[in-house]
Amino acid sequence: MAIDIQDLVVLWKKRPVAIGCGVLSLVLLAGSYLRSSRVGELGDLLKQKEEEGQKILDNIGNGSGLAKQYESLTATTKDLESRLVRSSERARNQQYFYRIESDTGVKEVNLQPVQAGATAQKGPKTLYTGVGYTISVKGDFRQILDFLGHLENGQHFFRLSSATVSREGQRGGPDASNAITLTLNLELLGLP
Amino acid sequence: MLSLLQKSDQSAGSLAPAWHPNFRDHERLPDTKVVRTQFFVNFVAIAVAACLLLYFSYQEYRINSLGHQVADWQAQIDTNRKSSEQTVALAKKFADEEKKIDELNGFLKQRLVLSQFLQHLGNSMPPNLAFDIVDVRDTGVDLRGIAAGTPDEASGHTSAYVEQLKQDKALNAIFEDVVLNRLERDQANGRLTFDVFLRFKGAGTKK
Repeated sequence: MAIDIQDLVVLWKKRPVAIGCGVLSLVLLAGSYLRSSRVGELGDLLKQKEEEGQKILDNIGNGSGLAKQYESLTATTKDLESRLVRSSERARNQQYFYRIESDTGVKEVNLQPVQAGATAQKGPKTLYTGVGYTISVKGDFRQILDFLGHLENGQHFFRLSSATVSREGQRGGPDASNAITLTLNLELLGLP
Repeated sequence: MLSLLQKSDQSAGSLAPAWHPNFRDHERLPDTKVVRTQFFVNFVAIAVAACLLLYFSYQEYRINSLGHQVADWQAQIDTNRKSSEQTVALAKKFADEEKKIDELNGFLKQRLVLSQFLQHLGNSMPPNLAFDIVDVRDTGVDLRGIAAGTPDEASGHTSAYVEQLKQDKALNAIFEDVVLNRLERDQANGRLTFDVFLRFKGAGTKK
């Protein structure tokens, strides 16, 4: 049943069109099979390039006006940072409280810096740190409110940890007065 | 008689099929069907080849088209890449600066503005009550003081004040609970002392 060249020649002579079309079909089938993977590859590559290109376009689109906003933000943060205290500058920090004391008329009873570890909060590393102080002042109700107002709206950023407001002396006793003692545990926002 | 017999033999012989060798070569004889087989074979072969050719051409067209699209995107990416990188770098710097603002906001986020709170307490306090201590803690504020009047009146003033604190809209925004912890007579001066605790919202367990 073996087919030799002579048989093929005879077959070719007998049906040249059919044989030619058959050979062409085989060639086209093989070609299609070999090139089919290229379509998939290019499709994936196109998808990847589209995503990359779109991301780049989005970046550019989202970034319009960013330079101006960044400039404005930098100016703001610079201004804010000028209001921070430095934990190492103890004398200057205490001077801040003394100035408020003289402005408001309260009498300072006690002013102590708090150890850094005592106020440090657990969590992610922060850019700024709270510089802790315990301060006790004495004065009448108006002066105390004024003192608090100066702290709350003062040059440095202030956070209250705890506070005690207590009346001075025994009520109705010989040492009774309008004086109030305010003890604050507070933090001023500062640079480490 | 014999000839008659012979004649009859001849008539019988003419009825038998005449045999002769068939020399026809079917391979070389023309196809006499109405539509030749060759036509069908060629038609099918050409149709199959044409279909495959169309398919192959379409596939090549797609490959070519995809190649062009990839090249176009790549050209666009190359053009915009530098600008995008600059924007991303600026956005990172912006995020770093933004972190500073967020940190500051976190630092300044307080439950209570003490000066306003004290002023509010002072303004809303009934005349027959007086505070000795206002203690601000993590969980809330402790108010300790005395109530004037007979024990009966004093306890009435205190419970009315606790009710007033509970109904206070400004305080309701800060505190979730107001509890009278203690109400007892001070043996030294006979006055009724009270201890009211205002618990911050979300401060956890009750005192």
